[in-house]
Amino acid sequence: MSETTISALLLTLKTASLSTLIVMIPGTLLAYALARYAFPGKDIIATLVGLPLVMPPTAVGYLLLKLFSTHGLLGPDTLGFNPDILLTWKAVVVACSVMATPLVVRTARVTFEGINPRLEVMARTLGHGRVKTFFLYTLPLATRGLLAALILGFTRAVGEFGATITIAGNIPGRTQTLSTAIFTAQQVGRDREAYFLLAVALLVGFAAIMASEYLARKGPGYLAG
Amino acid sequence: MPHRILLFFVGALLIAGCSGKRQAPPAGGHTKLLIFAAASLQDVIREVGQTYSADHPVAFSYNFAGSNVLARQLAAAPVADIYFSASEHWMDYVQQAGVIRAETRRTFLSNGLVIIGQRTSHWTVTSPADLASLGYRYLSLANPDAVPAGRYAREWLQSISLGDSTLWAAVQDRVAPGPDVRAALGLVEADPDILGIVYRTDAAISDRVMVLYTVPIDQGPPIRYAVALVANRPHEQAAAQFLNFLASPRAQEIFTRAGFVPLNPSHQGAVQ
Repeated sequence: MSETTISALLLTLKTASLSTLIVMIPGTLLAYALARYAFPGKDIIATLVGLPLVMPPTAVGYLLLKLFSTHGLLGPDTLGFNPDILLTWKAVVVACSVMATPLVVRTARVTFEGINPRLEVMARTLGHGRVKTFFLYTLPLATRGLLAALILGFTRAVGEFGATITIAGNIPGRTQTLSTAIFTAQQVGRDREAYFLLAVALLVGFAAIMASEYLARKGPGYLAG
Repeated sequence: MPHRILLFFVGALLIAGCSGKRQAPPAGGHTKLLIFAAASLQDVIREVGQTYSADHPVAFSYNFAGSNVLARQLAAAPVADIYFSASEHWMDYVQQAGVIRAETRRTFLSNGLVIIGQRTSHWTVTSPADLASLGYRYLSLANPDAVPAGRYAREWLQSISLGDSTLWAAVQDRVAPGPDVRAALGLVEADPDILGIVYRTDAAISDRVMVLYTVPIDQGPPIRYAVALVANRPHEQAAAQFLNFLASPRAQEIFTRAGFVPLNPSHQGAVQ
């Protein structure tokens, strides 16, 4: 395998893991808030968070490009320092995080909605505060669903193409990921490399779906620790 | 509610269906030709096509991309009528794949390479070797493994020796390969820290880049655009007539104005 193929795989694992980590914690908290509470602007927030799921990834990428470009709202001129995001591996993480958010939040929200609120009320009557109840009871009950959210978010990040190529480019050894490497290998006619990457993508996808099927079959897991 | 949603989709389909019909050729009977052309020809072929359509019953649709992408698309599904390649290499490829009518193939244009930077940037390039020493971030090229513009650029950089190595070896680490030459141009337009090598005709269509260095024609690799008819297509005669028009003074004038160099039109016979 060529050096650039291996670096594309490593970069994909690194950026997909990082973006999943970045999204998981705020995503879980937001999902819980959306599942349990009514607050002003709730529909707007839920819609905004869901948008990347239904928008063309290239459109999301273009939006991010404008946001992070020199004069953009999150660009060097506005911030006063240069976050150096565009065309670096950080841009891959940004793209993957944004694109993975809706899947994580939606899956987590459904999970929380599936947990009987009475269990939380019971915990509260036993003298636990809201925060303690969440960490001691709700979170453990949601473990399986949150794992499924994690897997979906991770695989979405692994497969991200449109937003990534728009803001991170497709630079071998630097910002080239599994999916952009397949695109290049196919265009350039390096079929063996394309087949290899295809096999890796199949393997990752297969394992992810198997795992999430397994988690789904186990149900919400009321008794799981 | 579900009924309304269904109704919406049926309605959308009906509207799409009707508007599709409206776009169909008028009663006069236009022949529709599909052209696959190298990305660098994007503007000039459109203009040639418009000029031709003005007094011929022919309408064109276009697919512009890197010549390598088009060649591979044609090898998989030869759905175009005419293929314009920015290099002989990819024309050889489709010819070996049996996609084109080899007797219609001709080499008809040349071009030149330039080093470009964003218009607001402060770079100066007085000799090619500056590419090795300047502190720019990326050198934007069309993918030098496959896309003609990138292959020409690499050939040129490899031909310049620097110490006991070549200029290519010195800049290789900073190359950002794009899917076609217009994408390479776009990257330079977007970022003042990026230099690029594109055709001079690409630099000419953008008001956001400036030419930092022009590769002298005799020092760069010979750039050759080839064109051929795709075999077994329904409108071969109309396509052949358009191919002959490319050698006409009117078409040549359009190519020249865009910065291309028409190649010996007189040496190449008409297509039957």
